[in-house]
Amino acid sequence: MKGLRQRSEQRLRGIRVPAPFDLDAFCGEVAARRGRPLIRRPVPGLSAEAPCGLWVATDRADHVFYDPGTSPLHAEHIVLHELAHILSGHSGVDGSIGRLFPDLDPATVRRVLGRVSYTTAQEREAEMMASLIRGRSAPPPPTVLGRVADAFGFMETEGEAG
Amino acid sequence: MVLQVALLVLLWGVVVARLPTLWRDARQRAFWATIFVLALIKTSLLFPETPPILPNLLGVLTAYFLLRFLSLLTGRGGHRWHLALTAAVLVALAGLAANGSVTLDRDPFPLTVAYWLVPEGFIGWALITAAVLFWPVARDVPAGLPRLGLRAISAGCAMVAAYGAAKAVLIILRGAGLTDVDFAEFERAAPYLQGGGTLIAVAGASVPAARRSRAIIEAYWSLLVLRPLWKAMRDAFPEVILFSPRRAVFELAGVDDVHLRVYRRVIEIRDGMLALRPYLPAEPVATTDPAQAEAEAIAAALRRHADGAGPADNADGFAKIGPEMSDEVAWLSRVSSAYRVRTAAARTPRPSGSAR
Repeated sequence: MKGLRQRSEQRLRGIRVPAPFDLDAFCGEVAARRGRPLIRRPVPGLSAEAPCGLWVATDRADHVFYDPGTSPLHAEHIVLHELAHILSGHSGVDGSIGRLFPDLDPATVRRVLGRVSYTTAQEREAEMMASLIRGRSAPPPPTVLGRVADAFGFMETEGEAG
Repeated sequence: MVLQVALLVLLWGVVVARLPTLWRDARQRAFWATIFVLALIKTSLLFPETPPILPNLLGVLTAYFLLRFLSLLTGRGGHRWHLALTAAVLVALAGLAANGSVTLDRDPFPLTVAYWLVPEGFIGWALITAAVLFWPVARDVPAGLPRLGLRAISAGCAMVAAYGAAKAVLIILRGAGLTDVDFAEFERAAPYLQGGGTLIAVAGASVPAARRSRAIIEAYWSLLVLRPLWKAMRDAFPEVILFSPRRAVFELAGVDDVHLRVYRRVIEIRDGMLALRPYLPAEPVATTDPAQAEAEAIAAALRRHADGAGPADNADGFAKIGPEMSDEVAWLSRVSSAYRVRTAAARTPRPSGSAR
């Protein structure tokens, strides 16, 4: 059985991650791949009695909800976790949807996945992918200078700065 | 002798220090192989019984790995061509050695001249390619150590190539019948050019790496500093931990992955803090140090959570910080240190009873 890291790397192959990282640009990339709008919305207090992030796929769009009551980097990671579900084609249902969005017609909802814990294979994979997107050093630019800088270790990356 | 020892220490030091980079990519492997074979050559020269052909064969291999490294840097390919050429040079060298004398202490035969010119030409080509590549690239890298390092690599390679060229000219002149060419005198001065050039080039390649090494050491330090806070969250909310430290050794094994491990540690602490938010005390803790106040609030929330108190919506949440990873690491490190100090103080037995 392949490791979680290896599986996640494979899923991310071919997906353009902006360097330096920009969440808006990455959401644009995901929306372009899906061929439909991706709507990102903060829901204060989302995590109090529900997941801290939620992906709701309807017939027309992907909706990503996240709890903004945390640090900016963490909020960004919560969104990335949901985007990883989208990119992986994960599926599932979450009982919190009716409680969180009572006006939403359940018939229009195709998929719902929330970020609660990493106890299922899908959640672990989404979490690993989100970490790889945001947490690893950016690959060197595909130029001689970029490759030289990477080989000798003087390339500035956010990961190294942190 | 001092130069030889310094060079050997540097070469084997780089070989050992760069061992973890073998798992990184083909570029790092090619660079490591170049230095490793170079270290073998210099070590073999310490032993008088080393067959004279061995350093030359290893020199050709060094040139091959250097060319491989350069082609991976430029992205031009040519791997099969380099491999075929190297094999041809090695076969030619072995064939020439088998058919004649390889020493230069008397008038060389044409085969002996060819024996020396074939590897010198191949190695010289690799060295000049390196010198020509790194000098202009140095202009575009940040001033200071990175630029100095690349220029040193270029200058060092040029010095060793100059040594090879001078030796080739002398061999040709000797082969052409000029009997007053004194190899012994050349070999007395040559180590400074060849050894000095190698020393400068390898030192140049090591200088910029100091920056990455510093970043990696800082990342390991961050992992250590963040551990008390992370451990508190792990104990309270084990479901937010993606990898146990033991599992992380396998999944995030590379040296460069230490940044990813720091990122995971930050996210898992933040996951725990988000879960703790409903248990924060209603009133902020009175202290002048904001990091200490945050640590006290976390400790109070952990206590309430452990006591089974119900969640409440009576707090503003945690301190606001900047959006970058460096902001998170700096702030959470301060909070973690304050948390560690308060936890240690809580565990310290207080003096009591008799003053005796």
